[in-house]
Amino acid sequence: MNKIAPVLSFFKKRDDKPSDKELIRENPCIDCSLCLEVCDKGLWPSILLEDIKNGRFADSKKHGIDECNDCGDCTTECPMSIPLFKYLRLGKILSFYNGNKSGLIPILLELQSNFGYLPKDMVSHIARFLKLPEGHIHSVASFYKSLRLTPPGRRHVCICRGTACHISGAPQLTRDTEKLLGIKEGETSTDNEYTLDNVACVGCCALAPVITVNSETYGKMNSDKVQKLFKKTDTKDENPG
Amino acid sequence: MITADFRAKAEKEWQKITNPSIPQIFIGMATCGEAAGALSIYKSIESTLMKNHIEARIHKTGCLGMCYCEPMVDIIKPGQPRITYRNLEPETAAELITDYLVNNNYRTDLALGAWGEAIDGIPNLFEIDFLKYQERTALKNIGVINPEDISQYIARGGYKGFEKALCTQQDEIIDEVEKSGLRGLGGAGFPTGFKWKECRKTESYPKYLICNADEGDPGAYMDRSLLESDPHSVLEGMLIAAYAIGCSRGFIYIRDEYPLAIKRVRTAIEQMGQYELLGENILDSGFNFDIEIREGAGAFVCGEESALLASIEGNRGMPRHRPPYPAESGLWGKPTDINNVKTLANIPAIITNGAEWFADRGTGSSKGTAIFALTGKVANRGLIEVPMGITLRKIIFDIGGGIPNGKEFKAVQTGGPSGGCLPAELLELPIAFDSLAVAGSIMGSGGMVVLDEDTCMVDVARFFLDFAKQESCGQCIPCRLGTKQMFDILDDITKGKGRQTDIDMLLELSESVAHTSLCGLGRTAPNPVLTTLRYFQNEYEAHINHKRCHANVCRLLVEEGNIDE
Repeated sequence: MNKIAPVLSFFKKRDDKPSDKELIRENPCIDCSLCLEVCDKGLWPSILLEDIKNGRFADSKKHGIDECNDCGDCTTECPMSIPLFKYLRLGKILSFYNGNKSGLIPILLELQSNFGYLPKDMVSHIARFLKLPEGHIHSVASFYKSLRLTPPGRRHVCICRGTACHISGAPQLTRDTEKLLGIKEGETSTDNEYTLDNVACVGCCALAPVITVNSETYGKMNSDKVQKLFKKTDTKDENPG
Repeated sequence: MITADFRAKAEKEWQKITNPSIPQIFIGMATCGEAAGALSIYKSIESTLMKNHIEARIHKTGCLGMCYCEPMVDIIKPGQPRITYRNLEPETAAELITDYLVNNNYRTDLALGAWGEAIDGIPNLFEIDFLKYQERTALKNIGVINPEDISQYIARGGYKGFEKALCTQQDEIIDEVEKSGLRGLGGAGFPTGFKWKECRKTESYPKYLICNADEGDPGAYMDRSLLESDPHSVLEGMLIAAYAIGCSRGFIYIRDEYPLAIKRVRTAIEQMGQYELLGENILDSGFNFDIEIREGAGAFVCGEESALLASIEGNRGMPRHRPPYPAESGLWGKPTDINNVKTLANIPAIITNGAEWFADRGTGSSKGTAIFALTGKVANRGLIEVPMGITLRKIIFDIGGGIPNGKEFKAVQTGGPSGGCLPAELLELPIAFDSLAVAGSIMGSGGMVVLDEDTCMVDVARFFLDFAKQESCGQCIPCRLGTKQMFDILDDITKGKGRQTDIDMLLELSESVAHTSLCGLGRTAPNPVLTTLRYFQNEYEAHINHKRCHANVCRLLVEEGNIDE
């Protein structure tokens, strides 16, 4: 039993997550300091949250945000269900670029490598932090092909459409893969397992045609190999370990 | 200065590797090697060494450029030359280790070549066709050294050019580069020395230096290989350029499709910091410089310099009108010098060996060497560095080993989506900036895709227009709508809906798109159509008039043809 549990019982444990609007305008934090207690690194996540919310990146660095190891304990313990963990991640990225506007694209890329895509709420936070209009961020995010605003499937399959791949049979490979996975290019399967995309060129032209699955590269593909590749990864995942 | 002590230590360390007391094993671990299975080879070799209690050192090197032989392993046994083995599988790699290291069997069946001398049925590596005609300067270290170890680069003469530059007047360095005749190897071929001079002349501070590693051309991977296998040569080039121009901050813009290149460059920059090659007061010379990595986000147009600047500033990568050129007003309105990876990689050698040495090779207005990624339907696919002026035939048939499976050569595509397709009649064409332009193609960044008789030229033109259409930033109308219209016409032709007027229409559209587009992407987008029309008009006519695709590529035509018969 936690030390301050009796005090906590006065507050009703919230089941719903506070909305982002709430988080910014009001502060649902009740200063229980549970997050401080559970943090292995001795950080105080709720203080860091305040720093990040107010754009004080120098302070958040001073308070040791770089040491956060993304364990997520603070979020699970928070009696007010504040998604601390999400904010700390964002804060870490933003404090690295010190709220610099020119770091927008690296920030978005880093955010995407953390979440797999650019969640809408995070985009609006970035806009506020960098003092940019939200529309600008959307215009940038929709311009670049690597940035995506929708979550990809668990396995992100990209077929290379470089010249060497094209003449070595990439169009046929695309048709085979589409048939095998039951989705068209640019789509995500309904069970969120596969997303099929194309990539301009991964620079492995000597091994054409090339497919990448979650940034692992497979060369000299043909329809048999495609079948084997997706079968293999399927069975591997069914028996983890 | 990099102390003589340190250089001597690095050289001694390198001596221990090339002339070792225990076996040294080198595994090519660039992206192409890893895709071919180098990781499983690494594991297999490691476990075989453990099992047999062999003491050996494993090095991860980059790629030797012989992608058709991947995965490759080099072994140096005490008292023996370095021997390169090709196309290994985990099982054969394990066999090789026991056979060669334990039983002294060379395994000639797996060997590709021995470095420097032929032994016992293994040819000299540098005498085999693929390497015989090459002259490697910018690529001299790839596949030889461990890219994540700065001391190996230093041991092979690294940073000597920079040290020499620091003892030279800045204007003299620029003169030297100008005298060498080095031209931008990113595609446009603008004289590098002139660019530097312009940037140095502009009175505005701070100045920026950008290394353009946004290699978007499909079918080209020279920059990736260079950054993955020898990042320090590019970074040294950046240091020299920054010192000569007077830049205080540098960026290296790498596309995010190359994660390994980004990782290796990051490591290299960290190591440079440790050896006082970056930061304040570099090597006690009073020169300050820092390099930052910027990742691209998958937009081809960002290879265009003004779009690249917009991208670094955190905006949509849209080109703007030039002039003013970046040398006058670039990043955040300050003078900025932008050079390609390969251009910068040539700089250290020019400074160390002098302009005359560089200008000795090549033709009248194209000096030095050209780096190509030779891919497509050719037997020996890989990375080559050849002196300018070499003929296409020599590249494709002597170095590349001709067309596999007994097929007929049809065309070679150079310069990616901005270049063109050159037919068999032009095989004797010497490679140089001007000669390629006359033939309707461009040097480009160095992609060279060989096409055989199974390739339909209309389909190739359609492919490139599809690419240009998708990658157009959408800012100016000729490019946004013109490429779409051209694509639609080509798409119709490949689907058997071609009209008699299509060819004239394509020519007319090409002309307007080429003349009225804002940036290089639009201006060069019609090149693939123009060259295929110029050299392969009969194929267009067969598609339009007879609804036939002789290469059996255009599916709808092929299927309909079958029904007719």
